[in-house]
Amino acid sequence: MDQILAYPMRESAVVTQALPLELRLDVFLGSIERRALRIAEMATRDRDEALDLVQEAMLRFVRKYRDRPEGEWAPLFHRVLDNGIRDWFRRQRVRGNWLVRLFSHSTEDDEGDVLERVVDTRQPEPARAYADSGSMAAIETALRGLAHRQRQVFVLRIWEGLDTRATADALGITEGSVKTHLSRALESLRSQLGDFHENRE
Amino acid sequence: MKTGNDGFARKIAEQLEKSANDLDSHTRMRLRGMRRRAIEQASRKTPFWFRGTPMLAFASVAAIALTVALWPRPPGPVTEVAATHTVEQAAPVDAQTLDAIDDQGTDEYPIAFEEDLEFYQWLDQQLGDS
Repeated sequence: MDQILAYPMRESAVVTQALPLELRLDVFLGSIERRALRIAEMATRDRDEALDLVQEAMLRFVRKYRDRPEGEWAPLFHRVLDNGIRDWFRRQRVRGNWLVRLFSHSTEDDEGDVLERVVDTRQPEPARAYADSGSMAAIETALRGLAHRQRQVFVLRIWEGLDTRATADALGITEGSVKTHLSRALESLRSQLGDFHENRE
Repeated sequence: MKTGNDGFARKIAEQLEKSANDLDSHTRMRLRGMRRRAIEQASRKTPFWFRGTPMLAFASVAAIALTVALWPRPPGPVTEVAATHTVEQAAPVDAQTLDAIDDQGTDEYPIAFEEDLEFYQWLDQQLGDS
């Protein structure tokens, strides 16, 4: 499972140390901002909220981690963004506007993490979304149907191209958990997007 | 199995990448503005002497508030007045003396009543004896 290829590899985001810090930050943030927005948007289902989260993540990342080695920037940025998303979920829950369903069972190594088990229940069935709007809508619907941790692991490992260790660092979980979540995410996506997979293989 | 997962995951990643690249120009502009603000923040170095200032200011305010709250207070003038007033109120005024004054047909005490209180008490005794 750990051998799964990520798309695309992101070496281009790491630029030479000879350039000024501001320029290197500009290149890095420019390379990551759109995906960060889509990740936040999948979690919040609101573009303005997602933009706020990305803005906050950029500011915090620059304030806290700008002097860290560039090779660590991507997992650090995603850690900041993920913390922002988790805080957003908590605020929504406090306000009573957040509809979630918590599974009654818990996993063995992330037992204390409530967000581990959070599922966004606001979307229609993936198959219906696929029929209505095409493959991207179906994928988004299926991803939103994943538990928060599974979705985060999937997008960081498969889309962002982080390896298992960097993903674990970014999300503050063990490498074993990353593998477990990725396996479950793929299994769930495959079951939900079976038509997508078979029709487009 | 692994090859199937690779292809499946790659197709999803391609779709996600496409959705990120297809963002509208307004959103792209907002993202650019956010990036600029973050980088401007990086350009502003915090002076070393300012880094602990908020904590120092909070500690100073807390110390002043604590000192004021715990500082021993000297007895105030209000307490003295109250004590004096209490002593004056404690001076004995015989009810019979007051009745005798009322018998004189006035609702008001004589002006010098308080000054001659002992005289009126003596007078009351004399009237009682007779």
